[in-house]
Amino acid sequence: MKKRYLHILFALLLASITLYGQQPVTVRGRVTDAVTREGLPGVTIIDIKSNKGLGVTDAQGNFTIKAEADRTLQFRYIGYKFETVKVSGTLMQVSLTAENKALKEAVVVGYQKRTKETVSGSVAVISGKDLQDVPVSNIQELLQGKVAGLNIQNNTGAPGFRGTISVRGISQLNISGSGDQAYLATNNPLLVIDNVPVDFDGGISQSMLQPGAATGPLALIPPEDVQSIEIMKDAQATALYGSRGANGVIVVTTRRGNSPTPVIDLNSSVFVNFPPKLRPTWGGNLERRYRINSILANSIDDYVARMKLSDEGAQFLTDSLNAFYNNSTDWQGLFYQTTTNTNNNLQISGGNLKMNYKANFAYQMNQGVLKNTGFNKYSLNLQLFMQPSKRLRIGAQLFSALGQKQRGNGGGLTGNGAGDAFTSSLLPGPSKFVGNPQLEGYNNNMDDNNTINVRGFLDVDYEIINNLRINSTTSYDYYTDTRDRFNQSFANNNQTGLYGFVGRHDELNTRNGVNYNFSSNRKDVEKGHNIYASVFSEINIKSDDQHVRDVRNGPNDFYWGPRGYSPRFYPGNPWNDKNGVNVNGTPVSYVYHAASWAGFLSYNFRTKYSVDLAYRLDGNSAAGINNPYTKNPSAGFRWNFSKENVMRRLSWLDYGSIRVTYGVNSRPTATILNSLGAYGIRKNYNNNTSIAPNFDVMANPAMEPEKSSQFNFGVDLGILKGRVEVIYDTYFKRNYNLVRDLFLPDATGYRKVQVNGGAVVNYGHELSVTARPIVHTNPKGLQWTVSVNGAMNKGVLTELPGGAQFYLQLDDYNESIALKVGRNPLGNFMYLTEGVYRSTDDVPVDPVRGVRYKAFLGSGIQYFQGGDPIWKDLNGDYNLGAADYVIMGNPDPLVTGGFNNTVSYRNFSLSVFCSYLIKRSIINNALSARIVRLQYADKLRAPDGSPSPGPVNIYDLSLIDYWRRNGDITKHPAIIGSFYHDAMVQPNRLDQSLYMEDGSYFKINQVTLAYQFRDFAFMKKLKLRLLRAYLTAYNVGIFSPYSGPNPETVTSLGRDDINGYPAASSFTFGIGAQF
Amino acid sequence: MLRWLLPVMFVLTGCYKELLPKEKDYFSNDAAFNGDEYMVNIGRTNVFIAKFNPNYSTQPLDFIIQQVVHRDGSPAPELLEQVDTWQWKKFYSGQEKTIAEIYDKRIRQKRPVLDIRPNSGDVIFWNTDSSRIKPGLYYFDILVKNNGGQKLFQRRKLYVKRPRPYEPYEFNDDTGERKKDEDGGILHPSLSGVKDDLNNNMNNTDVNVYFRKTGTESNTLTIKFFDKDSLPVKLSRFNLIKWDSLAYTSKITDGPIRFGFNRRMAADSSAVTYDIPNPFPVLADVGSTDERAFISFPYERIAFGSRTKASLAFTFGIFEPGSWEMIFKFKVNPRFKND
Repeated sequence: MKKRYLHILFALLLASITLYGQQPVTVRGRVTDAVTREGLPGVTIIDIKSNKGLGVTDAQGNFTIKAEADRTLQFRYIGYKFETVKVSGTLMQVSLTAENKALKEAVVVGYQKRTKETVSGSVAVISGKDLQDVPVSNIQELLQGKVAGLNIQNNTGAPGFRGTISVRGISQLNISGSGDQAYLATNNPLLVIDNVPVDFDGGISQSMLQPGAATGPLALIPPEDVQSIEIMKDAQATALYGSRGANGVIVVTTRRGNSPTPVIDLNSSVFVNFPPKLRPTWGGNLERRYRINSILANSIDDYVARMKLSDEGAQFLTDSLNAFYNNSTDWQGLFYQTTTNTNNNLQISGGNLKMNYKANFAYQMNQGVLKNTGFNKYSLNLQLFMQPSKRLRIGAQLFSALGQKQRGNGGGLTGNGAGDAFTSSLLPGPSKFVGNPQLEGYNNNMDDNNTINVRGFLDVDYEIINNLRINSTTSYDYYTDTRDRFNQSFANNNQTGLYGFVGRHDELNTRNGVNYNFSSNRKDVEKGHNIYASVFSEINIKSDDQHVRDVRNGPNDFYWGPRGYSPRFYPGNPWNDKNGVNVNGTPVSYVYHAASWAGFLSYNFRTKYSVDLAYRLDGNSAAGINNPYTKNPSAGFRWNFSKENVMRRLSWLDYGSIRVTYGVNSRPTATILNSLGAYGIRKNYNNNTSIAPNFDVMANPAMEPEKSSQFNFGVDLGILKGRVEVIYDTYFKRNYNLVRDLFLPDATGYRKVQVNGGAVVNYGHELSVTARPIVHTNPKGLQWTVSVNGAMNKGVLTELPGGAQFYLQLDDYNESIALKVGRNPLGNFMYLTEGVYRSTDDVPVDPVRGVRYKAFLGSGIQYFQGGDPIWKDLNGDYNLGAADYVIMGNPDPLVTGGFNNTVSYRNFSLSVFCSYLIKRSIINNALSARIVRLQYADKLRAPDGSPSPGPVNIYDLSLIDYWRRNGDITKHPAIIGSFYHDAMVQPNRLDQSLYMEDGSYFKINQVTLAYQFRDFAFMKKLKLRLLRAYLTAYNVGIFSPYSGPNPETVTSLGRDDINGYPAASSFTFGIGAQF
Repeated sequence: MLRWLLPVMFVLTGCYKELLPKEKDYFSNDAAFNGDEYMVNIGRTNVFIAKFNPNYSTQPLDFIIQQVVHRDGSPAPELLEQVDTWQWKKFYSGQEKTIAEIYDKRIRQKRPVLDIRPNSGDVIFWNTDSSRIKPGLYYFDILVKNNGGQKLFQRRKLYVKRPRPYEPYEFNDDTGERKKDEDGGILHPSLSGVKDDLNNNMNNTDVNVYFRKTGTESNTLTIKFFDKDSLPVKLSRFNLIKWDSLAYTSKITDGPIRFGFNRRMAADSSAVTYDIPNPFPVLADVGSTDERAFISFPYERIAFGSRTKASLAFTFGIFEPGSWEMIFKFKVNPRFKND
């Protein structure tokens, strides 16, 4: 409302000023956002008559220009309506309206820059501003909770690694690994950085233990250099990215120079990483007493108890006066450290629309909370953009980065920390004379992982005739990954380990096309027919080579070699490769070619009704020979209903539109192996070398690409003058033709064939609401923006190959995964725990056989007794067996989302970013494994062959509600019934629903308090345009009903692995300055 | 805002669900029984557990017995007749003090003779007498189903055999004929260190064991020993036997179980009589095939100046109710005296 008065005021002023002469005057003023009243930096001021740029605003939106009086000035800023005013005196206040900000926003869809109001696809935009103020090792972490439907779980805190990411549910069914190290195949979207498609993990699929450095491009981009990130969710938005976009597309755009005078941006911060919450543990005398009492109480008789206690392995318990065993060592704590780190970013940019440049240099030192782990990165991003003539545009970029990662003695994602060294607290901690292999490994091993990434592109765009442009973009992306590891013999089963990895990955991508732009009413697109059409072809050549040298049992810990083969270190040498563990060789080597053709047609009438049609054909060298091309058609429709005359009358409605899209994306999954089969040289036959097929996998030349069809319906709404903005999307996405193993009968001679057959549907709703409850006209007044987003996604398995209804992914560690049509795609397969037997009399009795319900199908006396869990006997045979397993739980969350708050008042601003997750099944294996090992109270380690081999330590049992005596009604069974009984029945076994918990959480990701220095005298002296100081707390807290320390740092299948890398919290103090 | 959004979400979710397959019960094609033969004896309860492998079919499965026929294809309704059965309501611990206490844990219930557990497919042939059911071969079908499918397992073979009143039993339960002597036609205990008058080791075959039913009023077991002249051997000869703690080990309850109840020793020590539950041991028929009672008669003597131990032992079960005598007959007289 006040804005209007201002306009009237301006008009009056202008009217009075026209009376004066036309000599140049110095005009000062400020350009602000009409809604938020914040100064707008970089607004271009143009003299309309001479069509000459007069200047731009500074960081606070202030400007000082020389203009002739009576001239008309136009203020232009992207995303805002042009404001045209006459020069009026020497002081001007201009406010730019952005009432259709959400619509006029430029987005890059299918490599084309378009205004959002004509895009029918579902595209979410994250401003680079929301990704600042917290130095993380991977920018992916910061996207969590910012976009509805983008599910990011930061399930590892390892610096330089990244968590899982998926757009609209899981679209893969393949699981690799077993037990707690089982991982779901990645659902990575395609990453496009400054219009260059790049592989998400630098070409390496990040699943579990990595051969290489596994540093992806998102870990190398400094957040300070990010202008915006767009998330493409539906088939229309991803159609033009072709087959690689089937899992969604993330488009990162880096900053561009836009200032006539060079601008130097410096951002520097110091941050401290704090160790996470440790797992609760009993130590010292408490541990000794528990162990001894347990041995006395739970041995079958006194004789056995005495034998256990008198065993030399139990000396650590009985010899309590021996100072060597009289400790309370906090093993977990020994592995962690508090680190102080820095993050620095320097950006120099400048130029105007005709030519601009940018150079960004970033350095981050990020030491992990686990000793000897960390990630240092250096990056340099150079960008040049030229427009020598109106018709020709040239853009070029060179990005180079070095990522240095240290993994200590862990794998990065698994095998970290105290996990395997988390032994009895009675043992002495490390000292000059005593060591612990795992800890020594962290202290002394070397595991350096270096990634060098160079990426350049050249983008040329030329307008041949009016409205017809040809463009060509060529990019080259090159990675070198090296890993150098040396394990000292003490930390590696008494033999040194030398491991070297070299990986080279490069990708050449060239895209050439023509696009045409037509508008029947050039002056105002809102009054005519508008057509946009483009045709392009894309060629992609990738190659990847990885080599591994693995040499063990070297002469000593100080000779880190030889790095090659010698007779002594030859892999065949039994002393070297004793257990066949060496992995020398070339695990990956390929060249991949792809050629694509794509066409795109967009038509809109008065920007009110728009139709998008896209088609892309992808062919690649790995496709099945019968189906070399994948087709990606898509169609979309958008209706901006607020532009209808009926709606224009509604004053509360700023904008409103409805989007409907449908499309199909394909993802090539055929490989030379599964489509053509493999042949190998076999033994001689008839004096000739014979070549025979590999009988493991039968060739399937009819292999088709995996496909994803998606329907999307969306509504965008802005009401109450920008106070409330709502985006709602609903989708139905079907991933089909998923490749599955089909095991063949022996008679075929082959073990299996890979066929298209799996299908998964994900459907759901996404809602984002942004509200500005308090908007003050004075920019220094109180401003409050709050946004909430949430996505509900349900996945359903709809098909398995051969019409099967059920598939069981058997696991060696009793952690099988069940796939059943009609259910969520992946389910746990476990016994259903329905409580705890209060006493032995409560155990059901087999009426025929006169014996109790038993834990084993077969002969034996594994009868349940009081204090044992009540496992549901599904088939009523009074024996617990395979038939009693139940499919339960869902490792994929039902609802994910975020909650963001920004409040500013005067020079202070406070941002709080939160994320949440509702309903996800987590299996607390870290707890169950520790309890089940208490059967070995007399030992330091549960032996191999026991249900859960590993070190024995005492969970803080006071935190568990467990059965102690007859009549107790508890959640947990008896910790130990008796050693004899538990060895047979395994009441605390891992494969039961008792340890499956709800992993819902609410997490405060980030709290930032910033102070903006304004109008200080020293700033002028130092020529500071902008100075800002901030304090950030990151990973502030997580609130969850889950019993483990963190429901997020679990594997993608929802298993809480004690060897995972915990998420650290950090505290940052930083300064941002602009000169 | 939510006023129009929530209905839209509900309607769309409903539409989506219509497009999706409903979760169905899974019935594995590979679900199968382990073998199609059921060998049963009349006069005891026969249980066949864990013969069915559902191969991860969705539970619960329903099992129905159909088409019970004689060998010639004529219906055999007698197998579906309801008979009195004992059903346990509390578990047998082996620690019971009296036979009544054991019996109190069971209740009478009517069940068809050929019975199947409705969800697990465990086949039970209840204890019935031979007046109802003739020994021979019968056939029956088992229909297994859940909502996802069904499978008919046809012509399961039910071999109904003659009763075996006690175990080991000297007669072939198919033909009723006595087995060959060396195949168990004559029962022998196991001997350890038992010597004859000439201090030669005696073999198992030097002692025969006979079971003799003497009445039907009560369930008792009397144990007697006779020498080669059929003169009673006093039980006091077995000087190491601990009559008060005589027990056998059960494989089912995992612990020693007292041997019989109410021990009564004849005045001249020529016989001992116990009250026994039927069957004896209690879970001899339903527990597992090797749940048997065990008794050992140890003694010691001085042989050539050194003390030597010897014993006779016998493992057995009694299925037919009544008063039974278990007679050990020495064909060669053992030496109990010191040298």
